[in-house]
Amino acid sequence: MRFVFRTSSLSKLCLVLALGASVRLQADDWPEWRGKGRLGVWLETGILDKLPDGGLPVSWRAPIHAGYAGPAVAGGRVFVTDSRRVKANQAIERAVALDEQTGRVLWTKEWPTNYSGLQLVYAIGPRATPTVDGDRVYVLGAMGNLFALDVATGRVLWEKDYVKDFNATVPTWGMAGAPLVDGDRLICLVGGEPDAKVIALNKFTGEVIWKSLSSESEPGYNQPIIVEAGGVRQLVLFHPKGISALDPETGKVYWEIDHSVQMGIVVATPVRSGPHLFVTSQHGGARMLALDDRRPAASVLWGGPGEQDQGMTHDTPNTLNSVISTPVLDGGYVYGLDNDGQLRCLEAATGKLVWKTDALLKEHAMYGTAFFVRHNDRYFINNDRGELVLAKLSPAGFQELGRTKLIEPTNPYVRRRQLPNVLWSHAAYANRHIVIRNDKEIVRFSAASGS
Amino acid sequence: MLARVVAAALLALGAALVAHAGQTPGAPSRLVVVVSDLHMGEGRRTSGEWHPFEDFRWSPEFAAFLEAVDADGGRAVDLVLNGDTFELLQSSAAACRSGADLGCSEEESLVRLDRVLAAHKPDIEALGSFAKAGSNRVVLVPGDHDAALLFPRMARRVVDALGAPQGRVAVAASGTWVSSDGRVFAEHGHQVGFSRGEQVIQDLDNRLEERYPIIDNLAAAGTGVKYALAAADGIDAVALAPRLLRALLLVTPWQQFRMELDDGEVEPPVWDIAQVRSQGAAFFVSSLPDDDPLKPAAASAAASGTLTPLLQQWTDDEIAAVCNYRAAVRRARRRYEPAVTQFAPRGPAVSECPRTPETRGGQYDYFWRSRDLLFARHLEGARRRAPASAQGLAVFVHGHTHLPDRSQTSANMISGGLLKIPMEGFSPARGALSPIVINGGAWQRTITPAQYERLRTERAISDDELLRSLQPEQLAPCYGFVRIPPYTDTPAPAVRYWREADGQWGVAGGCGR
Repeated sequence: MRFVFRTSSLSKLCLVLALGASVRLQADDWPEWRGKGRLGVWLETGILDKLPDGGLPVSWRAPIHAGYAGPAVAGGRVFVTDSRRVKANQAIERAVALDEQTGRVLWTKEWPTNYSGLQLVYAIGPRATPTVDGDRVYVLGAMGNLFALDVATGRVLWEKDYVKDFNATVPTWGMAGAPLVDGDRLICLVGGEPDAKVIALNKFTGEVIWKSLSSESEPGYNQPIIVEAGGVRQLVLFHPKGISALDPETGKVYWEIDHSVQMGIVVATPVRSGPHLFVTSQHGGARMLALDDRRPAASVLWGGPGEQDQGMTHDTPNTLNSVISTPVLDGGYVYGLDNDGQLRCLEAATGKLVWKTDALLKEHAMYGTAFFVRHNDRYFINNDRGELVLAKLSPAGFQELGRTKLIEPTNPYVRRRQLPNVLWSHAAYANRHIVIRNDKEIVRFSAASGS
Repeated sequence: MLARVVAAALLALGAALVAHAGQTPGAPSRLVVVVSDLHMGEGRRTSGEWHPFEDFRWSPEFAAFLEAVDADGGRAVDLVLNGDTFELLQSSAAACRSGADLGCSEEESLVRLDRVLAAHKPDIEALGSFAKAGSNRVVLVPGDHDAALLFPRMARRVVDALGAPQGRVAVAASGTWVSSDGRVFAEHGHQVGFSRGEQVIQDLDNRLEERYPIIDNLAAAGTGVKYALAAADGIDAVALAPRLLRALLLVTPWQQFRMELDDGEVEPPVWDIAQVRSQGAAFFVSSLPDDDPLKPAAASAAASGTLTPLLQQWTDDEIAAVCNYRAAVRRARRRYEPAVTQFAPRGPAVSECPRTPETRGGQYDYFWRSRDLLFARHLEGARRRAPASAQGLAVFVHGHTHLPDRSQTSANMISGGLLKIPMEGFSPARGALSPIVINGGAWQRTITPAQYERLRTERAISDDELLRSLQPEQLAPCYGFVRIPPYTDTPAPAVRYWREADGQWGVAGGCGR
């Protein structure tokens, strides 16, 4: 067929040019926990197809102190929080901003804290990933110190202390819920009393807009998310007493599902796909909820046991009891790492176990952890050994495409199997780079195609 | 200041024990098995039914247990019956004219003992057979329910009843059994802790057990009374509240809480005792969770003014112990942890006691702070009382509460540096692995309040209905004891359970769920 350049072709050319521009714009920031929308999806183009034999090229590395908090990347800056002990339980926590291109420290903001009351083996630093919103970055310390900082200077715009301001009790493993920006609100998992498990603050001033949910249970260690379902936007919280959905504008409860989880250990972020909303925890096991498509409501579609349930063993088939790892809900299947470090695939509709494998961590590992980031039809997986694994996940199995070491695991872990330490920090995937930290340094790797 | 003095004493004790351990020339190669709280009572009624007072209804499995222990130790076993082997406090027929507060005379006790021995002939025969076998030895340590064994004729009567050769059966007249190398001590346990005035519990047991035979099977001992009071008519719980609060609030701090003891320095909260005292009677009411069956009576008593003078009678240590317990209950409820307090992990949490301004955290310490303090004091006394030839107290076994120390789990570990060292029991010396204090629970079928409440929920019946209908035989066939294998250097005690599973009896590390 002869190619004829006509008006319609001009339109096509414009479209191609627009696409080209669009491709260039596909470089993207990673401004909060699990990236924009907390979805764990990397949308950029121009990303490498296979991992180089010699490992990913390092753009820069910069020394920092200890902490579990993953980095956030926005507006040419990398934000991370860390901590250094000064005496006994006393520590200095800080927020650090680095130049995204060079790793040069742009500013730091320090505050004193005291880890008394935390389980000290794990009292090494902040947990929550910074949240960047325009010219503000919100950072949270392990003991509940919340700051709104100017992204350019680190100047304190306002601050809150969950304990002093909201009568919160810091849970055993510290405050972990990264603040969530929604419109003019900053939604925080606080655990305040009375009835202030979750609080919405004015993101510009710090003033309280609403408080919601009883603090009969601890707040847990989860990350709030917002989903659209039943014709409304729903703020979903997974906490030790169950799953709650609130109107993010008012804090009014839309629905709640009782699901008590022992020890308050609810860490893995809920994931949603279509009508399904999935939560998992070590002690509580799995709950798949069906979201009502006509009104804000939900019901339990199926549940699988956790360690608090009678008869649960690591061989129990139709469940997933992740400790830290946020699972994946993709194409009608759940993929996730259980408490023994076993990667499992379940049918989303039924909970039926499709397959399980130790291939991701390559060991039977209590509290095994990995963070999954979807990129097209592949997953970039950061495991707790400091490795990056490129893989495909499908009902047919786990297909490893490549594996490379990114960073040394340095988080202390007293019952680790083969390694003395682990890495429990989520990486940021931004602007065709991967930014990851341990307790000594933060490193930026190029993941651009042709790297 | 007091805490520092006790800490120093603990360190000294630990150091002394380490020094002794280093000089150990050898040790007896005998298995030691410690059981307690059998509470053999008056047996069956003439109708053939068990008397509601009777808690020991387990002759076949007891005989099988003794055979298994005999085989386990190669017929060279020291079996310590560590108190409350016999139920001599509670009797439906043989009254003690000496008065309840003074206990029974020797003559009166002998009447009760003879009833018990006759009612438990198979059990006594099984014990006698065990004592005759190989080089086995049986020692009876008196407890609070069979303290009358300290009467010489009582002790002789028991020894004779077992019919073993000379020297094979003995009653520990000192109230303590000490291993031949002086490293293992066994006491019943009622001597440890605050003076709690448990007589009020026993009085209520006597009045209510006929109706509710299960109440003294709830562990820890005494807690069943709360449920019975909530269910029963005709008992003025408000009038009893001051004594009940003392008995029940002060028994709780030395339940066997065990959480991970962490590395590094922690700063436990310091309770503001002056501020607590200023709360008056409200302190007692607020120390009980809203769903505690005793709470309504406590609230009424507070309103009527009968609790007002109570706080002045309590020591600072006792108040701090209750504050520690409140903190533990609060955390257990907010984290849905049934294991910490044995109470159902639900419902509103109690508030914490007020703290001094400079303290904020330290939750990994205060759960067992009072318990460690009490046991440290007691062990120091035991060490002083020990024979000069004793090499040093390494293990202290007790019972009395009917609540065994949790078997080895991830939440029952003591810090040993970077690696956690699994440990049975606990050490009251902070950060140390010795001396070990261990509670074998009861050679009884027991149920915790958390299990009881779950059962009540499942059956959807009232306390009265459940307490009336539930019989000890319906509880899990699982009996706790402490086993200390033969050792050469260091005794290593462990709580074990004689348990039926899938129709088979055997020794297990836990009772299952």
